[in-house]
Amino acid sequence: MTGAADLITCSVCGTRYTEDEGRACHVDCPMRGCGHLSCPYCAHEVPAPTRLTRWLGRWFGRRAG
Amino acid sequence: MRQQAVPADLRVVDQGPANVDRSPSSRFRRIALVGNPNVGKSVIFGALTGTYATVSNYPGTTVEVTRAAARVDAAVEVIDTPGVNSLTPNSEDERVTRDILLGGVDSVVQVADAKNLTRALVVSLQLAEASVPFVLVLNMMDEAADRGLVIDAGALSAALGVPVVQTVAVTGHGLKAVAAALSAAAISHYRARYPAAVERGLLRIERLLSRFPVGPRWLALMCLAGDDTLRVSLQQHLAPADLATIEDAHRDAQGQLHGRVGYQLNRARICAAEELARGVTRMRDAGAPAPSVTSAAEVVAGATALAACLLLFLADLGLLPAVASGWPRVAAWACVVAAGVAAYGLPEMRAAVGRWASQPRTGIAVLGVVLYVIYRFVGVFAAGTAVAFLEQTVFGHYLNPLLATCIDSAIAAGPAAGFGAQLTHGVRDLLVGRYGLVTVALTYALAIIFPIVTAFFLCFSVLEDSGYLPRLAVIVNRVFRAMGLNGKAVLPMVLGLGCDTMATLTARIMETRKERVLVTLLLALGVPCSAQLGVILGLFGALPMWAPLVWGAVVLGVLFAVGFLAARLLPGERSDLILEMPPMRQPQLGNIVIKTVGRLEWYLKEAVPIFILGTLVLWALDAAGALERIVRASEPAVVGLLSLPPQAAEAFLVGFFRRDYGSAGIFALFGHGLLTPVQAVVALVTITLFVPCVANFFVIVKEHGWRTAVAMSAFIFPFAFLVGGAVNLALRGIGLP
Repeated sequence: MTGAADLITCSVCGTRYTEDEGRACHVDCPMRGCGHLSCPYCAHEVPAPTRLTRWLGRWFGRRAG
Repeated sequence: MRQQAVPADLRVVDQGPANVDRSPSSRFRRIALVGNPNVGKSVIFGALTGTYATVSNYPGTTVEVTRAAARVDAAVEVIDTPGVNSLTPNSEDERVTRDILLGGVDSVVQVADAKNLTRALVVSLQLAEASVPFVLVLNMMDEAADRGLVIDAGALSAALGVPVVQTVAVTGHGLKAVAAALSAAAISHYRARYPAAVERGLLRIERLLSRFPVGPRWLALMCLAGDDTLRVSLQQHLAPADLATIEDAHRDAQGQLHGRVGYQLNRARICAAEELARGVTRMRDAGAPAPSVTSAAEVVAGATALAACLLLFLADLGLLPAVASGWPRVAAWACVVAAGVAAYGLPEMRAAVGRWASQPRTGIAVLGVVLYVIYRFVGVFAAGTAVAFLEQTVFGHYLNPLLATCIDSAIAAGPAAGFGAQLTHGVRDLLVGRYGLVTVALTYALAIIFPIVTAFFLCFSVLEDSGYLPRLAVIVNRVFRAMGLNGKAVLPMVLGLGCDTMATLTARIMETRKERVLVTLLLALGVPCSAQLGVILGLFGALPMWAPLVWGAVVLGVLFAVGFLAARLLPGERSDLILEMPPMRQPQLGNIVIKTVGRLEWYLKEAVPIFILGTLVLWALDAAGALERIVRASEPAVVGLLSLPPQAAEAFLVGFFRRDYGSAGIFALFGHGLLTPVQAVVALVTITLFVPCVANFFVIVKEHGWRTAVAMSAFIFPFAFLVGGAVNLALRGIGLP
């Protein structure tokens, strides 16, 4: 199960989706995944979380907290 | 994706599973889960049915529909329908959901995202018009509460006349109440108020549609909106005179509403849904509501920022030397920065900017300010200061000479003749030669493009985080309407500014194959991806101000002309763009940094290997003596038609791999003084309209087949050179340098 905190909010259409839903486009992609997640509603793409961005997320989260 | 029109049969559309007795005497019942995309329908479906679901394509489509027996009663079939934003279909998904409802269901469970209540209520109003008994499930209540949103479910239930259940599906909260509420599903009598022309049309044709198993008002509205997918079914069940009456009513309504019945229906529903939502929601600890009317102070602030930008722009064009330097320039920039800080810090100012950004006239002005600020930041600062430091100082003075010295030392210590000597010279050439991996691939990727795309990705992340992109889509939609194009084409075209390859996949939302091919062609032809746009902006920083204006006018003019022509060749109803408009937000530093770093990681992982591959191909062609022949063969086009130096052919050659790589080649030629401003603009126009990159080409093959992909490239390649040649002639004709 996915908690609200794990959801990604699309900055174009406002749809909230999980990382797995964002990777659904990789199935159809001849490039087999470009390191991006795609909004399942409008397809706006954002970079998929990496170790570096997760670390940055935790760092900024701690600062905000 | 294969699509085909599926006329709805009003009696039986969906046969359901084969092992269930559906005779009139049986207790077989059918419940449909309906809702906007990504509102948690599947989780609620799982809770209502357990795990044994049948997933199949809806007949005649590639849209998947999931169905299973209900957990509480095996004679009840639950159908998980595709997500919809309207039950007057604009897409294959929406058509399938509409057809399932037309096929007859006993009740509907409408799942709503509680924090997007208006969007959900637009569907509720249509379920009410369809006279289908339903239960409204307000899901994601935790996220709504996180945002301080309080929904009075009792008041909503009383207003709609149907049970309203609040859930958090992912945690299981409220799911038992959903199952319990099924037996209380009721028909809602809440009605949206439509324009008088629509209501008159409804009076004329509603009675003709009363024999069908769903609400005649819903069917009548679809007929008035000109939904062609109903035509076959209506012809099967209605007398010719009744069909003529419906056609007359449709024509009259279209005439009175200037051909925009569908738009007026959507607008009326959205207004009704907003009114209903306002009545049942409030903000916890809400302060004063944001003003909906722009105050005088906001107008003064906005106008000052706009005027300051205009003055700076005119100064850059050389038309206003007084603001070109000194304190007037500092004061003008201070106004722009103050407006930016006000928009960042003051909620009222942010809301005002949001309103201006989505209005036709002010939206263009806001777009102009945004583009100008990005141009100054990316084109002047990043491409000027940062690239000069990295390319000339780091790579030019230190890295490349150091590496060349090391390799030369190794060569001097090695064999002086024979195969060994040839090998070491080959390696030197491969690394630091004219087409060396360090001198070309890494220099282009890291010294030229990297700082530029870093600045561009930063700007893009700020726009993304601020909520500006949906407003940009609204403005682009107005241009598309003027071209006569389908409103749905907006999203792929705007997303193409990020990545054309992904945007090509998005073209699937277009309804017909012709529309999908057209959008794909426009994307491949004239929408530069973020990396290419960054490099182009970077070069503009070193060019006179007329250069970006000419480039923008030519590229937009080509897109407009091709789109306008194609829209005439592809007649049909225009559909509306339905997009949730989030409030303008304060961009968060953490989000901006994370998104920018994520995009840069992707760029380094994806683009640099392709740069290396492209450089290897150049090196191999050069080593084999083929590069010179290619350059000579391309001289009639590159030198003759475009009046560019022969070396520009190499930039176009690597442009086949990635268009940003080709643009970087033009950037480097200009940096080395080999191009005049006119030549730079001609080269940039040509590389912008150039053939799609390798990744985009293969996605076009995947989506439309080899023939279409090759045909598109065969059209685009000469077309780009012809447009470049025309720009060359025109600019030289008016005597520009």
